[in-house]
Amino acid sequence: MEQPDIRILLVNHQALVRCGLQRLLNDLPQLCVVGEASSGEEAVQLSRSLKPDVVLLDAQIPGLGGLETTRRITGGDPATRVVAVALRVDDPFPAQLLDAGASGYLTKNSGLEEISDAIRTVWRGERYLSSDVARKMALSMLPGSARSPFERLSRRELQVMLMVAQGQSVHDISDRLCLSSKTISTYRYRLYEKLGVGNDVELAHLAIRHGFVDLGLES
Amino acid sequence: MVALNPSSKKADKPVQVLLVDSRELVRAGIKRVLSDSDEVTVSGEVASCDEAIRLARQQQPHIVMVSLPGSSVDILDGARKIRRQFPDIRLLILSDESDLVIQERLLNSGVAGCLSSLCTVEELFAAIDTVMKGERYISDSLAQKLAQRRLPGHEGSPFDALTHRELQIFLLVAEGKNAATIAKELCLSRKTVNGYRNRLLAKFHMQTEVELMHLAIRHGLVRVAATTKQADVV
Repeated sequence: MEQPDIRILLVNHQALVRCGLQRLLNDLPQLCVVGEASSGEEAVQLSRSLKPDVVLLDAQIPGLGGLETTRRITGGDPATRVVAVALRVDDPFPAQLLDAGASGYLTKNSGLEEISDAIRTVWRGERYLSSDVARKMALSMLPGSARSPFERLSRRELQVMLMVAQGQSVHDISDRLCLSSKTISTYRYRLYEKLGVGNDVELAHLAIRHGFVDLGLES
Repeated sequence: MVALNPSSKKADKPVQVLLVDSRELVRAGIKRVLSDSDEVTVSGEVASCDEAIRLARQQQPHIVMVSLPGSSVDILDGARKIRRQFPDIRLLILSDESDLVIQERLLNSGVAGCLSSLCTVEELFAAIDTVMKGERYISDSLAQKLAQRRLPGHEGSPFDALTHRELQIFLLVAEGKNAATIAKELCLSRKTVNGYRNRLLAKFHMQTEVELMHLAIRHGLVRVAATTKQADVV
């Protein structure tokens, strides 16, 4: 008995990468690319009309973005499995994508073999996480670790964190909060420790990634 | 903007391209596209410019094609190093369209071609052809933007006045590296790095490194995308 083809929708905004992956995947047994999309909106539309088995989704697809695209695709047809591919450092966090309905999560270090594995695994109805991500997620689920590092912050710490992430100086912050510079610095170092960062800029990166700071750049 | 490159390798044999991209999946895709043509062979694929330099020494490829997303410093410094060690190898850079500042610097430093990372397959082959003829290749949209910047009345970029070293340190600070790390990476003293940082703050009339980072993000030089929207928290 011949296995049925696994029908794949390829979603990536780089035409070059789409073209290459399409050829590579089509060469593999049982895999068949039935469509390609370059934005989140297009992906949602094509997944409705083509009804692919698996959507291989760039986690930071322009337009709707990885999270919303995943939500709409799996919300529209839960039988369609989404494998998110996180290619950049600032991609959505694995837990968020899985919550949004993704069945698989790959990183930029995943090669073709792993992608092929992931596609077959989610097609069978199981989940697939690349090993580096699985390890990190397992650790974060141990007792005592919050889902978002920000959940561990007190109200005052959160306030200082926001001001630092907006680019305010220690001097300004101490003025606004009527606290001494020394106290503000103590808060900063406690924040570094709780958030696992080493300086103000890293703290601001993390805050922006978690949506605490709006830079007015809607992509 | 066409300058002749004095070296000329015969194109009767396939063009040898060395690929540099940190993402295995993307490398595999681009390699496949290039290898499917008769005119090009991929002589190697590596994840960083340092590895590329090691491999280029053995292989002497015609073209090194670099597409490193995320870190502008990596591209800028990597391209410089490759240019310096292998002046005859043509460098083709794929980068985000928003990286105008970086692309302009790259072209000034002598790279053979700059393409958008969103280019089509045909455009990539056209670029390879062009640089193999000893000419330089700029994507249409980049050419447009560069030309507009040269028109009178057009406001220059705030980064125009920065030296290579200043831009390098600006980008590293904006990526979240501390003075000690930057000093180590660039073989400078911490004091020198702090001096640069203070000069940058003064130039941009800013008080904190976080403000420098915001500026870098607004100009597309550093990417940090919000992945969740928080409700009003405070």
